[in-house]
Amino acid sequence: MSNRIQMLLEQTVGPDRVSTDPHTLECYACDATVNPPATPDYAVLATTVEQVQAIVRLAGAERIPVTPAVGMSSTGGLTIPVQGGIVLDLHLMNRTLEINEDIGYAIVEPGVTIGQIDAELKPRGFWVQIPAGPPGSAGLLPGYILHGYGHLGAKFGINSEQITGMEVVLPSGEVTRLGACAVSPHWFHRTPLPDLMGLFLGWQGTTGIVTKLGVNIYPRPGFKAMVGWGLFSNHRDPLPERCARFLIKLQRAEVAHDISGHSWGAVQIGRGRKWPLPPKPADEPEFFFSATAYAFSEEELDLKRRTLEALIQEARAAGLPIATSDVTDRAKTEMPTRYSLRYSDHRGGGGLDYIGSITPVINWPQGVKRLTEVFERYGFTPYVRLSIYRGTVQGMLRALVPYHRSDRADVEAVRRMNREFVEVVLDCGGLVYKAPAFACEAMWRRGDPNYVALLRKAKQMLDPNGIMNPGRLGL
Amino acid sequence: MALEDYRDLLHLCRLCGNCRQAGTTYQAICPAGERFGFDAYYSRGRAILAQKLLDGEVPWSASVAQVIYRCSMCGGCVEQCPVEYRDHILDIFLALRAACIDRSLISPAVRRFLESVYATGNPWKALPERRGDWAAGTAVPRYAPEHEFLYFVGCVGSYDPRGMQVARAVAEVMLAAGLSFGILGSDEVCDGNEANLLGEEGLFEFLATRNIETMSRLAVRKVVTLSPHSYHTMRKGYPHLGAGFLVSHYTQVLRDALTAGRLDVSGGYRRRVTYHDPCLLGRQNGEYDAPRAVLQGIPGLDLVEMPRNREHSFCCGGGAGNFYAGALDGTDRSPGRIRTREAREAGADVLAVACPSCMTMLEDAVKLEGLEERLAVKDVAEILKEAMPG
Repeated sequence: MSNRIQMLLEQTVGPDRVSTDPHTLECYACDATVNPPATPDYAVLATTVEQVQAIVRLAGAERIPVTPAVGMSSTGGLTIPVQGGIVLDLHLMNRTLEINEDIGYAIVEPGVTIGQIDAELKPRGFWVQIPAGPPGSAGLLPGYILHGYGHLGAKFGINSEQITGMEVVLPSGEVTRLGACAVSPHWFHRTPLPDLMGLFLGWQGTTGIVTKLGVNIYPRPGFKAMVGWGLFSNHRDPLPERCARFLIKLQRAEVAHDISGHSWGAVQIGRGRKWPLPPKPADEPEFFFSATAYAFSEEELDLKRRTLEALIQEARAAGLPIATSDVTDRAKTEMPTRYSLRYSDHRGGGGLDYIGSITPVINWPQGVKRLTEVFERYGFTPYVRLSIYRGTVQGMLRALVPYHRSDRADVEAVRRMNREFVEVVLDCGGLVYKAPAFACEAMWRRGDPNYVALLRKAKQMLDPNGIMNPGRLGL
Repeated sequence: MALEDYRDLLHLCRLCGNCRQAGTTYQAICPAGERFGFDAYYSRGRAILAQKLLDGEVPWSASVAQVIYRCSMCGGCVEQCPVEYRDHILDIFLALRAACIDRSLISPAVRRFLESVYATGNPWKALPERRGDWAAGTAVPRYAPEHEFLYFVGCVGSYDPRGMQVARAVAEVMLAAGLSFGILGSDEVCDGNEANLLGEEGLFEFLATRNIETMSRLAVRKVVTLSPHSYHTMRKGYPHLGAGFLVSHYTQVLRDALTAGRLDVSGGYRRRVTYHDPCLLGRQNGEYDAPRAVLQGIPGLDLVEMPRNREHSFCCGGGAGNFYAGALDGTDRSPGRIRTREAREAGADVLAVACPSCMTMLEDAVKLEGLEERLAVKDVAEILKEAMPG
């Protein structure tokens, strides 16, 4: 920490927008995960793009790490400043700059929350894909640029596929637009120009700071139906291959906006039951699934519902051990929600960590079985969550772990489990999203060396001083 | 309870950040967070801070105490918290403050407040015998056992010039309604609410006990308070110290009088009014309807709501001693200034309040915002009074 740097930062954003007080800094040092805490040297609140540019220029000149942050509700350790330096808190940049109903996009600043954009769009009869893991108070932008999943994934795909344009402050301090908006006054699509957005998507803030984001908005349907079913498989093979094939068939019907599943343990945790859980009763399913469909008329909704029910009946008649059931509380939860992290106190201690992956659905059976084995070997309740994404039939295979934040044994166990989860996912042909550094390293070990070399070159080209969120991506 | 006693409860905060935004509109809810911006000022950050203070990872210091006291204890975060941590948030904030006092880390302004209240029964070291001066020239009597209500005025209504006007307006409307009431005058002392919320529980008990003894001696059965702060502490705190009287806020009494036809408001009030919920009347005691019922009962009054209202109301920044210490003042992001802008954006030309502290906070904010010509701050009782013919 340096008084000179502090003074320069204060000249940029004002004295009350910079803090070097230990108590202020410590609040940026951790999140709810087992990622080791690390304290920044400066916390800085920026309110304009020009301030972001000036701070990045200063950081570059002084070789100071910069870690961008927004809602502080990250559960991936991604805003922990592992090498200190500046935490650049962008939550005060919270304006929705444009809602273009005719073309179908909105432009948001980094601090616009999921709940805020939904509240702004709802009266207009529009919606966006809501990042479905975080609470409504989390930023929309991080959930999009980090390839998160959304509540309409079966219809719209991964969140980042909804991005129509962006403005980025580069590590040099230059600001640039990407997508159609680089030339057109409208932020309508990533195409047709050479697409450079990939240099900032999934990079975890290591190549620049996204200061504006264009996202697709869609007319908001007024009708909703949910169909639920339980899978009565057995513990040795909780998600049999024929169930995966049924899910693929369901997705290919292109009726549902969301197709998701939760393991029995996940449902119990969601219902607020505390650890340790009793053995699963024999008459309860191993997995609870739900398909959610939206429609603009009752007739359309009825057709969708009947289509889903017919597919379920057909699968059942073919011998798949499923039975219709009430949809779970999780499935019924309206998005955005304030309740997304409440189940993290299952073991007491309020911690939550996870390894999330994007994995071909056909490989989920193998993944679920092995993830469950890992949970049980460590004495944790198996919490497996599945969601299908539009496109090739792949989706989110995720292992979540509520743990006790102050219990060192819990923390160490979760760290070891996470490493095993990563290997399971990779063995199943999946890839980790919002990956912590160790997970990236595991992917790179298995990956095309020329791809990793290209990543390094791109990083070096954009951030030659290595100031942007260093310690991420295993590069 | 001491801060250490909350060690196992701090983990109940899931660090989700819901404490930052209100209800379904997702607008800002935390006045300290809005004013200062850093995570440490939100409930989420305070949970981390408390943990790190307990673990010795953050040292106790005067600047930590500043953060701890830069909170109006409005309960906005409590309302937004979706998990059981909500039941402990304000108690943990209180324990943090008590720990600051134990370590002599309070600011000079807080120290002056506490010393003055202890010495004179009010925050300004004003003469106790001047406490009833606001009633000079009115027909308001000293309380006697034959009265139905004791009108408890509190420090702001007794000594603050604008608060005195409000105290008088409430009394005049109650007189017009034919209510039977009296005041304690110089026998009243500070209700102790702010001392309690500043972490000085002992001083709160000292002041509350004095008031309770006085009221017991006079066989008080029903109290009507001017300030929601008095209302809150007499409802929630005094019973633990032996008080057995019923407590109402004046808006509840006036609503009943208006409903019963005991107030003539035929003069009407042809203005567009928005109502600011005081935290200690609304969010912390659930009374949202009485003040609105009074306003809606006035012919011609056009009541509009601000986006943040009722349980999602945005605090003026004056709670928990900040009316005196001013720890949230100083910029255009001060809560009161944000709130007055919100009132204007709602299209109101009158901002109605039901708390003398809110009155001063918001009236000052109107001046700082340069809105004097476009937004008047009026107490509900003042509006009622203007609607009364003659």
